[in-house]
Amino acid sequence: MANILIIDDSVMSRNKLKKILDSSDHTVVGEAQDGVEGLAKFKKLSPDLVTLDVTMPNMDGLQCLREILAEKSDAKVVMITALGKGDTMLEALDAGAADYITKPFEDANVLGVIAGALEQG
Amino acid sequence: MFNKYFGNYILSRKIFNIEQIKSVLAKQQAARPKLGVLAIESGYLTAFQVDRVHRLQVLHDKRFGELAIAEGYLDERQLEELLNKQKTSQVLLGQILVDEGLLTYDGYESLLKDYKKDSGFSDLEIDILKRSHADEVVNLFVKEDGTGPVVELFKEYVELFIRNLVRFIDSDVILDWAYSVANYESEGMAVQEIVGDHRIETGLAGQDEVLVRFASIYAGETLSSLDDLAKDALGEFMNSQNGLFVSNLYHKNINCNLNPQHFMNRTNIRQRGRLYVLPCQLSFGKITIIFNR
Repeated sequence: MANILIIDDSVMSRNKLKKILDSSDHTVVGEAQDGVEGLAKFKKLSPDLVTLDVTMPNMDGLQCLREILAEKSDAKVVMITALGKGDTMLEALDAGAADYITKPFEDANVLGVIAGALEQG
Repeated sequence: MFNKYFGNYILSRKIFNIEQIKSVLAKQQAARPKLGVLAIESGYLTAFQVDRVHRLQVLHDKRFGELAIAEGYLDERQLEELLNKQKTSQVLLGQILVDEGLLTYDGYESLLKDYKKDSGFSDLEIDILKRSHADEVVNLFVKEDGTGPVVELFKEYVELFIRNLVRFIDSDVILDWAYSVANYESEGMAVQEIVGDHRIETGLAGQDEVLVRFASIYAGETLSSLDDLAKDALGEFMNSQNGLFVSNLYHKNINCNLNPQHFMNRTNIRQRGRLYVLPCQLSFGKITIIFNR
């Protein structure tokens, strides 16, 4: 059971994620549509976990990830991306992301990855 | 897939009246082997499991395959294999036309000859349509420029696009001929640029009502106009399509990335090197795939 912040420029993706998370024990405490808004909400809401889209206008996901981890080094961030290619995700994992989910996502996969990320020390 | 093309041809020739066509299509649908039967034949599901999925279908408005995966009876690969078997096991339209007494064998043979002549398909190409392999079918409809690197890239893109259309939007996809133009005007288009080793402008265009239906299916929500959510869903479809395409390129040591997708109203795209246009007929209307490299 965790408080989760969703950062994604797509309202459809946010709706889908929210629906999946609402059907579980988790609580969506906030939503943001780009990295700038997401970082502000992260500071304000102190969520247990952040789902963070990679491709976004203003501040992209990788930059936002770095800013979040600079704010709180043990923050749990799960990246969401349509890009299943290795280097982007490796870069995110190297930077400190807990895990990643590729779009289009499925309920079981989302909840499984989030559960795994929350279990990480 | 041959049935769809040949069926469209019969419709366009107005050989039969609409009631006859509806009756034939209904019989063709009923003649399709059930996924459950194919799953038992393949040894993937027991009769008990098939029965359970059928009972779940009564409770949930979901397809057999979706529920079988959710229950852990099938994985994605097995489902794809069964769906392919189902497609290739389709009773040929011609057989039903003859069985129904709408055509004699001579009449069918003659109609088929007309179809080959009018469509320009060779016997080999008709066979490809009957086998319904996406990569071979794409080759049939993308003949522009022979085998240059850009057209090969376009073919890869279209092949993936068709798979995603079938997977997420509509299993009834009929390709039209691809062509290249100097510029392409559209009332509305979801656009995303692929950047890096390749720089490609990609788009999904169509009339508003078709795009709204497309977006509704992809978002899993009932949408009534081309509002922000609908445009967002179209962009997300493009993002997923292009994400997979870029990932495939990455495995060939071609490094690309994606710019954020967006929706353009009343747009006019100008050709860079080659601007390809591929119209596709879905069960609810026509969409157009744009590929500008």
